[in-house]
Amino acid sequence: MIDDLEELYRTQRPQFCRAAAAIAGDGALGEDAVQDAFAKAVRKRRSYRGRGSLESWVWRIVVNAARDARRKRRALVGLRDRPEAASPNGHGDLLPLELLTDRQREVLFLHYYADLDYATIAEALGIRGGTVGATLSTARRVLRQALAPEVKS
Amino acid sequence: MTETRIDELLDEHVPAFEPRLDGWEDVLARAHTTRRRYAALAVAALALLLVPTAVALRWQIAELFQGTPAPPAVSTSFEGLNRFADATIRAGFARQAPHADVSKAHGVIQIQTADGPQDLWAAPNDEGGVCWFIDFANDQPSGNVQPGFGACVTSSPPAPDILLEGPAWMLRIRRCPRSMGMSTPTPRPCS
Repeated sequence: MIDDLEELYRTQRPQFCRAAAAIAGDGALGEDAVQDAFAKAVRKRRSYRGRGSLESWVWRIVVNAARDARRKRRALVGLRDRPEAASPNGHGDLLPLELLTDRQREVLFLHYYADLDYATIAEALGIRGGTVGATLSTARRVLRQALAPEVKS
Repeated sequence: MTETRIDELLDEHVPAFEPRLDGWEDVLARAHTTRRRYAALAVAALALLLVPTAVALRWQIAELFQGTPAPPAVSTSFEGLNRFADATIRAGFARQAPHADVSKAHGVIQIQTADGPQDLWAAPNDEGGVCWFIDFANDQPSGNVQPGFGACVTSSPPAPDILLEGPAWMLRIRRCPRSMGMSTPTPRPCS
């Protein structure tokens, strides 16, 4: 099984890192979260019961690690009230992610940055498959409405 | 148009990551390090548990240090603890701090973990207590110093005649031979 984990890591590391960086709110923290998450997967590999895909199981660990990193980052920089004030690209950006809930953001990130299908996203986040599509649709609608004035101008 | 703009902004929000050649090796190292940290904590917890027991049962220092003499690298580590004690006093953090009698540093217990044997060494200190040091037996000394960690307490750990084997969470205790003198060739607590 460790070979499967290595294969998953080697083939999908950029996607894992990108999604984790988005969730963590920082590129370096996201990358570190992925390393820690795979290390945890290696240690806990015997607890994988084969329910659901290995990929989903690893994604769940990565998402949890990225959430932890995000919490620590908030505590460190005192951004509890302005969670989106900083951006993983280090410049701040025009994407109004603060308008989205945590779940909407995570679904959006996993879909866009990792190109995961709805079933894998659902397993990774521990939600129902039907919820993923609706959440993603809502997230994009909120962003679309927020960006509409910018596009018109 | 707006959908395209959302995708553009998402691309800008988190730039793509490049592959990392040494990434998997780092993953394995992290997995290994964390497991070792748990094992070290288990030994430290065991040591802290045994120290008050030893005091309560009035084990004697003379009996305590009949184990294998510490090799030079471990002795150097105890000397490091003494230097740390000196620095603590000089910095004003403490008026006095225990110093190990390095010449009497001996093995106490050895625990077999998934990462190899882990040793607990001890030496009497000048405050009537014990300084202890924990290392992984298979680690090579860095320079003249054995990698590990230690501390000093002002009470005594138990007699050195036990060997704990098996994973840290399933300890099996057996007696070690008591006749481990200075000429013992293998510098490990109960080897």
